[in-house]
Amino acid sequence: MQKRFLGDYEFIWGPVRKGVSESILYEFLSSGEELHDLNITFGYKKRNTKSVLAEKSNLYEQIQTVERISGLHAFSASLSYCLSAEDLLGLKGKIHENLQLLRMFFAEAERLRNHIENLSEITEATYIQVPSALYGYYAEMLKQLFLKFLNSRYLMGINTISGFMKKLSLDDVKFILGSIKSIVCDVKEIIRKNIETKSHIDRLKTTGKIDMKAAKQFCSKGVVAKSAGIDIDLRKTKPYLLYGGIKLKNVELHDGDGFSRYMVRIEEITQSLCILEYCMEMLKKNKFDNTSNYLMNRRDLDKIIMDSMKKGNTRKHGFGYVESSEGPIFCYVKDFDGHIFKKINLRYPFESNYKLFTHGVKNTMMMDFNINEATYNFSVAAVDK
Amino acid sequence: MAFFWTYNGLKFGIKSVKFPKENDFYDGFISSINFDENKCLNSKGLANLSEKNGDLTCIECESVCPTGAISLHDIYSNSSGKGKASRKSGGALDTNRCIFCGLCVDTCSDIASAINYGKDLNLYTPPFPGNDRGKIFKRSLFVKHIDTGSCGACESEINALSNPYYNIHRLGIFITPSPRFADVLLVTGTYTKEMSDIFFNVLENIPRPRYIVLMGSCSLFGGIFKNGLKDGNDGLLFNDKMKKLFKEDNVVALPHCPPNPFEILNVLLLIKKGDFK
Ligand code: SF4
Ligand code: SF4
Ligand code: SF4
Repeated sequence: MQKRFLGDYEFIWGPVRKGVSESILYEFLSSGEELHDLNITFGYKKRNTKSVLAEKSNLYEQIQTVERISGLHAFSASLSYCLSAEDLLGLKGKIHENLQLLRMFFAEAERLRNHIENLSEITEATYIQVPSALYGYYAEMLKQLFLKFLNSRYLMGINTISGFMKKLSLDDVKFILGSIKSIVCDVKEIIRKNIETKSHIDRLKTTGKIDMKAAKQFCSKGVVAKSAGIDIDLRKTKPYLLYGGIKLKNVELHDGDGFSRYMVRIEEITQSLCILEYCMEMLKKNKFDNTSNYLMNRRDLDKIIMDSMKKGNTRKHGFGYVESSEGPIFCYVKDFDGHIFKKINLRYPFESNYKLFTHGVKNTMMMDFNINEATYNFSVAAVDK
Repeated sequence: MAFFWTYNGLKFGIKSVKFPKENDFYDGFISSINFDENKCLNSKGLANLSEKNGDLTCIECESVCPTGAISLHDIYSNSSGKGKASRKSGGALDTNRCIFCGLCVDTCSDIASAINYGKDLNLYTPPFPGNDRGKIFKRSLFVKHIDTGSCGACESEINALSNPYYNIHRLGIFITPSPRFADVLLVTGTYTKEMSDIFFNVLENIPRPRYIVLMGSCSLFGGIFKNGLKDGNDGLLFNDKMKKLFKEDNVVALPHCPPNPFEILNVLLLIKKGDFK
């Protein structure tokens, strides 16, 4: 790092930082007030997931592993894996509409939980404790709801290739939607009051401002890109599952600051709720009764795969993607040996967002570093695979 | 504005659970996997024994378990060999190896419903006595967290403890940024090579008496990331470097992936109260 100003000094923070945080090393060049340069070192959490995945003995174990690369994106990641596996195995066009709707439903539920949890973190970073606690409370209510119906607070163990792993009836899905609606209604009330909290908004506005040019240059993704005027969302631009049938409203702001990132999340909460309602309507229309027709046990899956192989429907590679709360998760699979995919490549949106973050925090106030970091909502685990 | 939020906070009311005064777990709370030997097909000694299955009628749950947490032969000896599985002492399920994936529950639900979720908060601590498991912390309990290669969900569950539902502060438990003030080191992650020295560095700065809580399957044995690679994700429970520490320190194993906030809270409260005997 090059010292550019008189009085600049370097200091490090990490890999073990304050509170409860993931291990990562920040090297700052600062004058005390202002942050002039930032270097980020990853690698402390590297779990060699590619080799771990290649050693698993079946597809179920691979799914369990994929879910745990970044636990907060477990559902999106495993769905991305399942879509790519179905692509390779020639099963892509054979997924029942109701199963696709259920996948969309829980992908949106995961997005909602992550957004609400992040609102809590952002609000805490601006030192407004009460609304932060209230957001946290409602994120907890969502996790409890997931545990009650799906046995996992992080939506793990639900996705599988060509099927679903949990028993759910239409009434269960109705109950889940009703509960989510009531949670979102309460969250919106906090948002409304919080937007009127001047100190909160002042701390977010103009903080960590990035322009569209930089956002494009660093190939930013998800919330971060949308906050700088780039509305790239795979659910719209390259629809998968049944997203093509929904007219999604544009979520796009232009200031590229912390406040815009905060507002993108708020708008996406409303958007996700609309998608959940759409899924419910369609499930009712399709006379969905329960998941028993889509429950996939090992023997059935083996049979489906064998049939597809015999008919020569399989391909050399498989590709899938899912728009998670933070941007797209891409999955590429190849070399199916009859039991597992020997090569799996998962890409999360954080790598490019980290690069933009390093660029965007330059010449910002040191005091605002926490706010800035919170609005990006990184997962170190997803980068440090 | 400060008054505005204070008023709104008060209006929101107290949402915290009464735990540990009452076990007022929420609807749907689960924290254990229970194995009912009486329902298991092997216990009934049904026919269809085959060489391949090692004389057990069914081995479905064992074969689906991704971490080898189930060992049916530990409870059913195949000595009789005549179609009736006779029981051996010991459990079929190694809780410290269970990542709580639910695959065994789902599998057995179509066979015999012998494996089910439960609500126990039983702890299976390692067989290391530690130096003092009595009441060693007088008032508050300060916890330092270290991530040695986690997926982020364990951290999210620790953070959840500060939300108004669990509200750990009401119980005098606080997360501290400095190891020097800490009574407990809460470890998450697979214990990567890169974090190994840093882990001991943080630990050295925690004054004794202290507790080390290995939280989540990753920190116990590597969890789903455990592999056969050199420098693999081995966790700390079976790590040679930890042997000395197990003699000198109080080490607690907190399994599952991730452990539920109630499970984490339970461990911290037991440490605070000095109830680990
Ligand atoms: S799957 Fe069920 S019946 Fe079969 S061995 Fe396991 S517990 Fe017993
Ligand atoms: S829940 Fe998963 S890890 Fe635990 S015993 Fe069952 S199959 Fe094994
Ligand atoms: S134990 Fe499970 S939840 Fe915790 S860090 Fe490891 S994979 Fe994530």
